[in-house]
Amino acid sequence: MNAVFVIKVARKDNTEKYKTFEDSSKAGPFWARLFKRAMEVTGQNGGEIKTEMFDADETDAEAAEKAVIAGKAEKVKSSKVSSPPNLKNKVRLFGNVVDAKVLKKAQKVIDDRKDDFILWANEDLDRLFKCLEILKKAGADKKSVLDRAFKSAYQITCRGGAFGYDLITRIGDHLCKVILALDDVSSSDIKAMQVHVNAMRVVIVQKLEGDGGALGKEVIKGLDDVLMKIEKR
Amino acid sequence: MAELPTFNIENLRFLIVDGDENMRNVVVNILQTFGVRERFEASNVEEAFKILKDYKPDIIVCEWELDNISGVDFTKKIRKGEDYSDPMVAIIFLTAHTYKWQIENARDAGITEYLSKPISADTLYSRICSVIENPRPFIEGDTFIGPDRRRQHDPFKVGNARRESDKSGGEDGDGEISDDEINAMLGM
Repeated sequence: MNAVFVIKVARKDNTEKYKTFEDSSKAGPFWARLFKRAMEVTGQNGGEIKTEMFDADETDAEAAEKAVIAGKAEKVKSSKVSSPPNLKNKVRLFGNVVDAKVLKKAQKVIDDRKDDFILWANEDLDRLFKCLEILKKAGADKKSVLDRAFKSAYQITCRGGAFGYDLITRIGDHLCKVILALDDVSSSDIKAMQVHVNAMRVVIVQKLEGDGGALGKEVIKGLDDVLMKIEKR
Repeated sequence: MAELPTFNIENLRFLIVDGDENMRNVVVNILQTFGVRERFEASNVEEAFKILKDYKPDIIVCEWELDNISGVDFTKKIRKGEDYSDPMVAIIFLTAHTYKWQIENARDAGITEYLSKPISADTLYSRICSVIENPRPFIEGDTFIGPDRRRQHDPFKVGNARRESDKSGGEDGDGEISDDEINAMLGM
């Protein structure tokens, strides 16, 4: 028997339509156009459209469609497109709106915690320092220590730029990438991590906000080289 | 940044999932300043699923790095409707990960918006506005569940490369097919 492809479309109102293709090369493009249009339709009108493609071992289109209805055809692929939740229904354009003034006030919420950031960063740097000390010792569970080191480096990365310390975010991002690239930890890897931790400590001690200017650029360039060497291995 | 719309979002319900308590507080405080009344917090996925089930938030702000399972796997579980969660809930991914493959992973897991840390009030609000203004059709395919990944203005900025996984519901070529045929199939 020949294979006949059948595309079935089912809508939420229980209507079903079928189209058969004796030439399989034509089923694919039709499926693609159908899918694209289904997205447009659900986007504009809402609702839900389910499309399925079947491979029926039948000689003609009518028999193939019957095989699909009887559940005797093999499903090749399927997709369901639904209209997304419309949050506009819960949003208003008046009253307590978020305007430039509110955005400024919200940004101040972040900016007011700048001093907290210094405390948090020092805590994370202490944790990183301890991780490095453990890694230097023989017999350490390196994977779990690296996981802990990554967590501290990641926290610094996430927080820094939010509080105006963009340079520490970049150095932290570098350190995260270095840790992620490590399979094992050699003494040179520990040195590479140490360079990052020291650089971050300088940023905090000297309160180097922003990108750190020319010094910051120089630091990042040096760390780029370190990361490149590790990633190339 | 382009001028943002001025929405009153006080009735939207948010869930913030982040193991970093300090940054979670920052996000909560920003949302409070935006006027959001219902703000739920979770430090891990177990807490998050409980809140999803009990309070049905409209938008989840989720960090990638979580204990036990990643934010990416958490997103996949939500999209599959695990633990009675709403598969279509909007998920704004908040992370410091910046590798292209990481962004693609998050997108393919079914997130709605991607927001790179460090956070600012403007960037968070812009993603919330995008979720409100540009809802995308929700796709449940054989290999992907989530909002349509192929919108004109790609928020993930990872190029337009075609993926093998798209074939579950994607374009295989155009051919000579009339709009009438397509519309007839869709009952239009």
